[in-house]
Amino acid sequence: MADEKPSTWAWVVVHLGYPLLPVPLEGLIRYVVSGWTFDFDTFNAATLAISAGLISVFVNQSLRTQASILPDPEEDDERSGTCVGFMALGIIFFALFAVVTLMYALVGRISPSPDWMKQILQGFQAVVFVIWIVPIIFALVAQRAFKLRASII
Amino acid sequence: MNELEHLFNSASSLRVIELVVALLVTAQFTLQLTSRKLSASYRIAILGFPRSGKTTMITALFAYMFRRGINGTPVLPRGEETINRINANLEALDLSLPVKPTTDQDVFAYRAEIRFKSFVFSEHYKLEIGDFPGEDTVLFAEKHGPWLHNTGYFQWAIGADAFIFVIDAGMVVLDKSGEYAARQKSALRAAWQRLQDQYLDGTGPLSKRPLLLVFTKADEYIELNSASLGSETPETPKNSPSRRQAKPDEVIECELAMKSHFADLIEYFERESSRFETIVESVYLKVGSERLGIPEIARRVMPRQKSWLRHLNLFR
Repeated sequence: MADEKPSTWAWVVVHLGYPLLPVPLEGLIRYVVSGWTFDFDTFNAATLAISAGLISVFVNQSLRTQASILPDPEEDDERSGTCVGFMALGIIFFALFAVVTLMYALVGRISPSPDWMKQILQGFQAVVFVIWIVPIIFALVAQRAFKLRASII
Repeated sequence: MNELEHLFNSASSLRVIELVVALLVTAQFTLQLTSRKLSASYRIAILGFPRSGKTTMITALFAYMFRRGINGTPVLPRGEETINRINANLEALDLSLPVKPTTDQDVFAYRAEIRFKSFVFSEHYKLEIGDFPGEDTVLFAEKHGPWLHNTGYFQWAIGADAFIFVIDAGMVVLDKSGEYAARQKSALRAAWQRLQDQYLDGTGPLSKRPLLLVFTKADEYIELNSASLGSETPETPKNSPSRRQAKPDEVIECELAMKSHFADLIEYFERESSRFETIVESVYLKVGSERLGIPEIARRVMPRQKSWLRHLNLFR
């Protein structure tokens, strides 16, 4: 019974930890395989983008399913606005995932690939590596604002 | 070491540093923007039997915070219903009229916004004080069963950030048999144990939450006690008490008497919580320009501004 109690910690693990897990795992595998060296390709921008997109969708669902105990129209409005924000982030990250994956595929397919194509790929990679933090911080702030909790069964 | 040298010597190292800087700037910007839009929720649960003075205490607390704020930070009421109720209750208090008891039909959370500002991080809190009928506390403390878990009061209490347990000091004097005090002790101890059992974030965080044992209606205690010492038969206090300055010795006497009546409960709470305090309160007794006990309650139970280092820890 005690383990099934919803808690903040479980919410963070379920909504942030699990979706982000592939990123460090993939990075670790690449780090080991590449002879214990870090480079720009150790972490994959496409994996990071899909993880950030999944976080946005998970938090959106958590917000939708957890109702207020006492009615408050203002909080309901805030909740709806936050839901829309996470949905928008989800769409952005899924689109980034699609673009980065497409660019990876094109660069790998065309040999030798033109420089402009590599530059576009690197540009999108940089965008993902910089903005992936946005849904994570937004999620933590939303958790505090709406007291979101989950249980690990 | 070779890997680090490789990292810093390679052409891509500059890009990595640029990315890290951009990441940190984005993180800070996102934190500022989202925290401003979404205030952290801070709930205060009040547990007390019917007619123990919970709504009156909440009203006095808001009256104090409107005038003084929290450490000088303004407290802004949130929502039309909070504004209407607080002002209607304040009017009753000013006229020394009793505040209407809360019923099942008017279960409600008083809401306010607190905005601590600082140079590095601003902190916004959404304060919620749940005003549930005293009957809900009785159910919480004395009854049990799966149905209880679905009640609003139960769900509110097990997720709260601070707790105020209320005991009517006047009733302690009126009830010569000691039955009232015994029931209060048993019920509040059971309520705390139930909280420990069900608190959503576990017993560790619960023991660090503010826990106050407030003895309300100290004016009634003083009035009834002096009447009983003067060999008069104690009576239920009159409905329209008058406001007056509290004498320090009568307040100390009331506090000592309450601590003596509830010594075992107080010892229990002191062991269970690192932020436990007892406070004697009355909305009709004044200390200077403030109502007795209200500034202490506000100081102990309201959210505090954190140092900038503690902001790195997003979980409270």
